[in-house]
Amino acid sequence: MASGKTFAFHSYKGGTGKTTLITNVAALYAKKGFNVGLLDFDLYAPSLGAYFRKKPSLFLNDLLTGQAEISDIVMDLTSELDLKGKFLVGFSSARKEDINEIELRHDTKWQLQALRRFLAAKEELFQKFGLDYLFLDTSPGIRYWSINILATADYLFLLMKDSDMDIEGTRKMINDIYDSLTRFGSKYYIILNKIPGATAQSNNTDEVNAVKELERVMGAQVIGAIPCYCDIQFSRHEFLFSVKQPSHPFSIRLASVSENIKSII
Amino acid sequence: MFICHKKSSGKDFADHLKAGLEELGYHSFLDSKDIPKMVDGIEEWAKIRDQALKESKTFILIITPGFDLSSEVRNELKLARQVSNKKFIYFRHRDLARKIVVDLDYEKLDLGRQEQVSFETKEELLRLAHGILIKSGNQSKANHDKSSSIALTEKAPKEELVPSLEGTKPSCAMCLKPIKGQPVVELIGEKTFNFDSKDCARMFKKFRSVYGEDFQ
Repeated sequence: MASGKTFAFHSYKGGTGKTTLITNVAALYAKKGFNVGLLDFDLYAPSLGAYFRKKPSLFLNDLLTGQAEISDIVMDLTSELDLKGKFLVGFSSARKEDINEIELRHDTKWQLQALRRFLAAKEELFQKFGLDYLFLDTSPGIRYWSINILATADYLFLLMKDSDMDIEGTRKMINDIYDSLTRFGSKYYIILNKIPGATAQSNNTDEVNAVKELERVMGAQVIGAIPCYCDIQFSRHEFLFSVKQPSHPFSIRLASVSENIKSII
Repeated sequence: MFICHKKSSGKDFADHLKAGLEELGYHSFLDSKDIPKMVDGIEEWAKIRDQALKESKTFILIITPGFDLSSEVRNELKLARQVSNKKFIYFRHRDLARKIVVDLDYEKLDLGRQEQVSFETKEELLRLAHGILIKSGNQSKANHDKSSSIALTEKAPKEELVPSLEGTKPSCAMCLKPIKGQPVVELIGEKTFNFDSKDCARMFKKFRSVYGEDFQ
């Protein structure tokens, strides 16, 4: 089993900013010199391919079906992004047939084999590539492969917006899944994203109160709070702001989130 | 193989048949065992079932009291008959008359005209099924001569992970690798499991906590 740490980013609903956050935090860690892996396990609606503008020939789907090794699937983007530590990215396929293949075409026995292939690949990433951290993007909600990914991670980051729908669904998901996993060593934290009307400072009263209230309602620690920035939210192609534009308020907030994460490991 | 049954009267038979065939090395599909519990809604559930049904080469119908009143059984039987290249095996409980006509909307299927195998106990059902598979020229994966063909059983993928058979070394219940050192032994539920490491044991317990006993 792996010796580095695995982080899964998850949410109850889509549109919480999961992929933007995980890519930026992962890149920040690589920028600091850590060896990082980032895998797109949002198998039902993959987006890292479009985010990094890559068209790989092998996908994580091929790993699960036993047709490719993880070493052939991950792309090393370290030098392309000018990062200090290794930055390996694994993409999943957006083809309808490939998505159906994983979700519908196989029985439980096959799914368990696929899960074991993933666990072996994860171990290989830590041992062969010397990863310090593995970041796993997941599909929102309670989906089979989201649960698998959550179960294999050491730290779970649950992204949400400050809305009743998100709060209700996330609370249910915590009861149904997260609490089971914490009994066996997993730890989970909330990241509150897209806070409306917030300022660049994290200590403004409205935001502090929103975080406190959320922690009370959810019974879980909020490890980061990020305001909604229109230029990020409505950017046609936000791309690693935290690395490319480190002085942007969004990047500053993300740097703070990544520091908070570092402090709990 | 796809196992079709009525839940209220045929579940015990179906469960025993599935478990027994798996032990003998034959792969079969049984909805209650092979569809993940966390699947999203009845539509997704039906999609997975239909896909498995279409891909199966053999359709086993367990005929128990009231089976023809179950819309699920009728739907599965109907779909199976619409898909070509499928072998049907009808196992009928001895308490029931041979002649049963099932209304499949587009046809009245007279099972009395079909070849049937009668059984009484679940043990007998398994024994009969195994006998039919062997007679049909099938061997389980465990005894399978590589040069022979499999007509009824599904083919295992090349990379299929199988428990270690190296000597008497147990394999890890989580990663399936042979346990090199002292095994980590854990009593989980009512069963004892051997693991390669504490991490494997912890991972196994996590999956058990979300998937229940289906995870093994």
